[in-house]
Amino acid sequence: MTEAPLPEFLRTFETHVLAESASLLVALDPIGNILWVNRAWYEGARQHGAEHVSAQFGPGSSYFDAIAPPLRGFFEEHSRNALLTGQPFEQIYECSSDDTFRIYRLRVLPFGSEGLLFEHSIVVERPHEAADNTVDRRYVGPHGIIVQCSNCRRVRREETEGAAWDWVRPWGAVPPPNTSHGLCPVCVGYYWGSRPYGKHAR
Amino acid sequence: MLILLVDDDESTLFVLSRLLGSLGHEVDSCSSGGDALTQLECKPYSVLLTDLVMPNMNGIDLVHAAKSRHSGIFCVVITGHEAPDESERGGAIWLRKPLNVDDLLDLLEAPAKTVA
Repeated sequence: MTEAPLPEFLRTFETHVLAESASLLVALDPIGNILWVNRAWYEGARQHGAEHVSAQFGPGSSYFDAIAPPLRGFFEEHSRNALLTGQPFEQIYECSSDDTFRIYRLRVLPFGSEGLLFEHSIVVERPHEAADNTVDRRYVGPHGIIVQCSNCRRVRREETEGAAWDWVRPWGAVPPPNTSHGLCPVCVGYYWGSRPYGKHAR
Repeated sequence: MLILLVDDDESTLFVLSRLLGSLGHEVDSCSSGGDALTQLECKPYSVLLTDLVMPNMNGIDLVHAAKSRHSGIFCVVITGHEAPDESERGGAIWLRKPLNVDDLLDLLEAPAKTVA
């Protein structure tokens, strides 16, 4: 991996301060192209099993192309506002893996009209609580079948007759064998409604 | 093409019926394997598109029963579970949910050519 040079607008920092920061740092030009990332960016991708993503979205690529459509617009808009107003914005988000629960704080710092620095700092990182693999009877239907949305992976809570669909953590990756995959009402409405949006829209 | 859809999930039936219907296919739907076997006797279906995990009769058993009576029927099992070894697939094609619509449409081109 070759390190890109630090953009001019970040020259107010000592290079090593940014390069060796434990936070995941990404510098963007005003239209969202990645100019520079620090080592923690690649290390974070490795920890999340996403080396392919950091390889694809390094310097020269569009940062926003790496973000799924509904969130992409959110971050593009807030980045534009930060550049226009000179005001940083912050966002707390969860980015967990199968083994580890993680909460990050994102801080986006505008540098005049020259560019932005995205700083992702870990707030909470701990192993998930021990998974309870016993089947919660609230999710088992009258025929002994569990219904999971094949799109968002939430599970239908039977006692609510379909009003509640919950994320049941151990079942996100591997559902029990008696799981039937359907679609929850929100995914049907969003992806397949009369005005479909999202990846299934044709 | 005449397609029989089988799934115990009403939303999936609704979505797939609408999608395949909009592409010019004639689609009937059933919510159980038993109903599907009855329905298969009523029309000369080209394709059986079935869910895997359903009450009373699962998708594999349905495929076996359907093929024993209508050997030429093209069977597709759609499921969120991993596909088993080929020897356990009952001669059906397996597609993963969430369904990639393009994969399904590509798959349906094969029986379409046979019918044509």
